[in-house]
Amino acid sequence: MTLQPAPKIKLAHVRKEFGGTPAAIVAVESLSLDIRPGEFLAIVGPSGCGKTTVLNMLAGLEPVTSGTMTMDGKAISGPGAERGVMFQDYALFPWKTVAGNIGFGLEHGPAGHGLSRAERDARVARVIDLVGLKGSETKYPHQLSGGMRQRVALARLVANEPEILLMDEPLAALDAQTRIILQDELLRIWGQDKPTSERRTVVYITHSIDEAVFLADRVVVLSSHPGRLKRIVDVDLARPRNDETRKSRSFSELSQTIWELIREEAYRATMQ
Amino acid sequence: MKHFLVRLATPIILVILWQILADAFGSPRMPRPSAVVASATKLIGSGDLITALATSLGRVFFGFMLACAIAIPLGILMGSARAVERNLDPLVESFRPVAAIAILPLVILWLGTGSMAAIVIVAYAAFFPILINTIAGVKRIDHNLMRAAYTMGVPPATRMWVVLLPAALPAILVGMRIGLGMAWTAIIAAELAVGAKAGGEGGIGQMMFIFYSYSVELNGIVVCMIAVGIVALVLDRILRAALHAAVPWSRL
Repeated sequence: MTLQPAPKIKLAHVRKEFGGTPAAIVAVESLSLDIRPGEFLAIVGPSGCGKTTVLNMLAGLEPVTSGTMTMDGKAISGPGAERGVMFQDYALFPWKTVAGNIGFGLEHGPAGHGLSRAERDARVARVIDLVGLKGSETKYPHQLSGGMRQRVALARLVANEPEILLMDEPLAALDAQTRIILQDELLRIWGQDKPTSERRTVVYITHSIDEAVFLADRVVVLSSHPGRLKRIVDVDLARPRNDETRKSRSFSELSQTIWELIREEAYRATMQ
Repeated sequence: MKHFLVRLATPIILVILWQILADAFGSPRMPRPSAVVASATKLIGSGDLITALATSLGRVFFGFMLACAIAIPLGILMGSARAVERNLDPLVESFRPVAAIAILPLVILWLGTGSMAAIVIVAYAAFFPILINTIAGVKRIDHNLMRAAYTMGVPPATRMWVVLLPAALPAILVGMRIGLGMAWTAIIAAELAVGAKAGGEGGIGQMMFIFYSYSVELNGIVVCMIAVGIVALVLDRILRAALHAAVPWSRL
């Protein structure tokens, strides 16, 4: 076991309730978790396990009811440009072009502070190239396919260069083939060829176990009602990962392990 | 061209029917298409009709702008701040059924019978549809768009301008389109009513009033009615085109 660097984000005994007492619903209960710098962390669990709630708390969109949530030792008290979010429905601005959407944070947020107009444009152009959107710069979101919109949302996230990338089921709305292609793309854009120290920290919510195993360094498995930490599974598959990874035995073994952890609850969830 | 003729078929048939019926049962008081055309030619030729329409349109323009200037900011405030909406909603809802023409006596007593009174009436009429649609538009915007800007660290005042306003724009424009229609209806009514008093200054409504109470010229009244209808149609088409140009992403 190598010595781990200090956690980038630390959750200690986090609890989240919704609604007033006494009818409060507990969404997340005593969740403690260290998120390491540069790691790709996936969170899976049956529906009702509070995955999205955890992400919203990390984003600063929801306050914790009790417990602490810190980034680099400082409490997370609200949204910040250093924590970028990619929403499940992409949340693209329909009145902005592809380039306008991608440059939105640079134009209006702190991500663009100190950058000249030309520098901002250059970065947008670079990111458009990176995610394969060249030629679509002047299109509007309603003119794009689901896969293309997903790329725009990812590009917007990347363009702001946040330290932490928070992603809420970003591929959930796509068909199976597009999903697989975009999983590969996502790892390429994240920089799986680079050393860990140069990668950005990703927290990735998904309901797909295969996707979690394929993408992540570690998979956090939550149980439901309320959301509690069940197990953290280390994914020791070599990078860069590709189709060979998907066919490998250790890939299916890891998927199977995680499936067994949540199977019972997942079945129960379908009966409700 | 064929498409155009198809659209005109119903009006043409109606006019022919009108002429036949007028000839068959017509009293001298009955306006006839042929007489209406003659009257229209005269009124256009003298420039009277155009002047009257221009006067009315000018009042509508200023009244409508006044309504937008108040209703849009207020609607955004009411749509985004619950407390403000709860406070003002009873007031708005109790004034809304009061027709623009019903505030006319008060307006005339305060402002006289000039253009200022007409502008206020128009503004009042256009105000409610713009306000109601702006409130609804702001309330119905995709919450995640605001959250996306929030997580990018965009400051609250900027979010208002660059997210809330454009997101609510389709609904605001729909309100403006309805409001303009109401404004045009209200100006005719106001000018008709103001025309009863000496000192009413022009406008298509007053022209109708003069035909009605002084010269008793039914053909002239019909010309005015048709002119009012055509202007309403043109105004609506212009705003609809503006709407499509301004919000190409929205299907309206």
